Amino acid sequence: MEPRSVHRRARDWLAAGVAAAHGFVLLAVVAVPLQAIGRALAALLVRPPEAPSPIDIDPGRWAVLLANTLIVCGVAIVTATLFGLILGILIARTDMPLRAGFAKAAALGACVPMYVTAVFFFSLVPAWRVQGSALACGLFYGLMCAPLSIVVLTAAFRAADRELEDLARLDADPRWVLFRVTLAQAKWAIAAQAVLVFLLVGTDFTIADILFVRTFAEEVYTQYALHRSPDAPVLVALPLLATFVMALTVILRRYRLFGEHSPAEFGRGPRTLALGRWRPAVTVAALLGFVALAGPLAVAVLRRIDSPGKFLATAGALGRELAISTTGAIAGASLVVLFGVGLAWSAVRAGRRRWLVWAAVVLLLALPAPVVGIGLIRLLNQPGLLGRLYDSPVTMVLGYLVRFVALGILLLVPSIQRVPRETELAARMDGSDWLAVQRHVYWPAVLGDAAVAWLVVAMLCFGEVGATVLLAPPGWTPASVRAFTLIHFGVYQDLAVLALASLGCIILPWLLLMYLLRRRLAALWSEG
Amino acid sequence: MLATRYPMILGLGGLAVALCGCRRPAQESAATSAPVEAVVVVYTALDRQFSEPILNDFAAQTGIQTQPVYDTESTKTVGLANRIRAEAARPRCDVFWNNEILNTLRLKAEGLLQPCRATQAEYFPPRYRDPDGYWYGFAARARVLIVNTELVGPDELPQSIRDLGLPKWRGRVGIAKPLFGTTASHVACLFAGLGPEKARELLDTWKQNNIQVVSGNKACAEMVAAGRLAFALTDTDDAIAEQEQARPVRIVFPDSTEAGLGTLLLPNTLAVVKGAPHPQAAVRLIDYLLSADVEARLAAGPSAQIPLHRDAPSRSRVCNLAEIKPMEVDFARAAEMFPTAAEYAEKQFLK
Repeated sequence: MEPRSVHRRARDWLAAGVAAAHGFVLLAVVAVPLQAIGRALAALLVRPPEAPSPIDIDPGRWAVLLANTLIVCGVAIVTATLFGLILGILIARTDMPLRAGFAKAAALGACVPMYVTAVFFFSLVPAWRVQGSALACGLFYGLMCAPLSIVVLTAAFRAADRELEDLARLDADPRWVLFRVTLAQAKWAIAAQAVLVFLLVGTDFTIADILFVRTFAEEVYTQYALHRSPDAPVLVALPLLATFVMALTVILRRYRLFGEHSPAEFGRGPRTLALGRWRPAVTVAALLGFVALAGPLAVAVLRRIDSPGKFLATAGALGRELAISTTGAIAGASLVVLFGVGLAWSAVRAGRRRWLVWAAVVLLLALPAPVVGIGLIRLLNQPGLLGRLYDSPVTMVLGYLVRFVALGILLLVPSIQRVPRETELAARMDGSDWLAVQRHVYWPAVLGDAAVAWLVVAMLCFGEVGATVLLAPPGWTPASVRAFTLIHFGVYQDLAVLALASLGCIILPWLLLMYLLRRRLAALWSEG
Repeated sequence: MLATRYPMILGLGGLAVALCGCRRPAQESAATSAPVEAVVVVYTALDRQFSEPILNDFAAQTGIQTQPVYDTESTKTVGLANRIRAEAARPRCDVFWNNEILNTLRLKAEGLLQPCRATQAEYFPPRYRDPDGYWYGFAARARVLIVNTELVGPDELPQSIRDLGLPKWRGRVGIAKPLFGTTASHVACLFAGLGPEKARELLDTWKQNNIQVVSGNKACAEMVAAGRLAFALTDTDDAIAEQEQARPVRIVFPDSTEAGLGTLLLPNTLAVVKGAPHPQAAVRLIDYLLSADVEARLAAGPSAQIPLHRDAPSRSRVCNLAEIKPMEVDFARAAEMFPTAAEYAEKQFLK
């Protein structure tokens, strides 16, 4: 056989292997929740008549869970959306000074782990003051999600059709244009942002658990701790999962995100609206609002620390937890992005197979965090190689992969869509296989966006609690789990230090993120 | 050229990082390379701030590195016990350091513990150790009423846990979530001590009195100290923390009269998990924890535990063991009643 032929065959095998690895990762990641759900349903439906039901379906309790989940999610969505709409318009569409600073602060706020924000809030308002209050719980979640809403809606307002607005302004005053054209164009982005908040809040149990507000996600965690069988918590999660799947399906179908279309150009938005005589007042109000919120929170946390010396000593003692979190986040984000690019390509350009990716993304995004933990435990807690994996911190990294690979794909899909299909076709006609197309066409084109996705996912992994609290092996407690353990006892020095140190760990990737996004962010306030 | 290698570079980078993630950080690298018995895995339900310094000192003194799993407040004890059950086919926990006793007894009944011979055992009252060496009790806490002295006058002081059901305190009394931790154990002990019927009646009076169910005993104590509740059922360690911060609270040992039920004392318990990967290190840790020094530290420390060791200083900051009337309860019977009690409490208080 000629050497060239051998080389070609080896390349073919490699390409097939890498493609198969992507498929395997997708199937394995989806198998984690599906096998847990399948086993739970089997335990419920296929059981001997004398065997007890794995779940006690008490209509009264389910009504409470539903009501609390709706209140918490509803209040959170309203709060976050209000902040997002007001500040999003001010940042993206007006000539308010300091817009760049507000945008960057919002981006930082969106990156801060939920437990850090919770520590700040609970320093000011002790958790016991609002025990059992679904309204307060929703408000906390809403304030935590507000920075994310601001970022999403700022981007959406900038993506509005400039020509349409200019035409409308010929016949109408700016306020009419704002409500009837700009907001109308952004309505699906507002809905998507609301679904995002719904997902984040509805799948998280940490704040609800601390405040003892019984939501579906909190019930999943409680039932898992309470019962020997992991079937009960998974069954409890199913109504929530079904609701999220439906909401996501509607949003993703509306956006046709997985099809071939040009994504909106971030930062090429319409002209800036002049605030006129209201400009100073609006700026002062925005600044005061920011200071009024951030100032007391920062002071409240700092008051928990006795002295700089004690801060350093405590931070040193917490170094191990922070190191575990950082390492885990780096590993998790690397895995997500490594496979995310290929899977995002599959979601956009893999013909009929893209619907498989679509279905996987919807399922994974809709999963309550404890179900990911339960699914992985059921899969890995077995003798042999899987058991060895379960005993190692790799389990946590796998948890991050399951939790965030769907988000990674979503972040990378627009980048793939921006690569002209003709470029891929030309490469194919030159004899390039799938792997070569990925290497030579897509990866170079999406590298910047992949770095952004990596940073975002790394920061999410850093703050993950819901699955990690179940998966962390002995001796491998990450900062997020340590904070979750401590926060039940109130905010004392060690927790305050942990929150500040975690915030410090976020600042560096946030600065990197700002650097990578500098051109796009500059476009937000340089135009118009 | 470089661009064509991006995926490879990123892939290798990610793999390298993932492998770094598999490396044990500095503190425990020695443990991994050392012989198996140089490590002991301990699942501990005692609050981390109290247990961690003791485990660290054990590691420093013996060279045996501890790999702890700490409990979360909201699923205290039950979460760890269920973790041990889930890992029964392939145990990875060596020592279960429970901050109460019933879940230890339940694990024993299920055959998930193995006996061990602790040299310190004879220094403890027989009531607080298993005759066959399956578990050892030490450092007890009492279930007490923490009372806000600004809201409750000296002549109104509650004397019994039954007072949680008095209409005059309607909506102003509290307990922790009765599914986990010492509150769940307390309910099970009531089922064993009073009998299921009377225990249900008692819980019903609490429920009818609109008792506030909060996330943990610490929250109970804080809410009383802040005046949100008049009094609440909690543990001595949470109550003493409020008292020592000069909050307007007083600790009442309930049912301590002649005819009373008695105050429930719940010892910490230690047990070796069946099939523990490091059984020798496990016994060494148990011996260490049962020492008079550790009991003295736990008594003098912020948790103010009540020592049970014969040679330990008998007085804790909370109380002297001899001063209170302990509730006479058959812990084995209470362990049997635990699922029934938990089921009733779940239906009553978690709707």
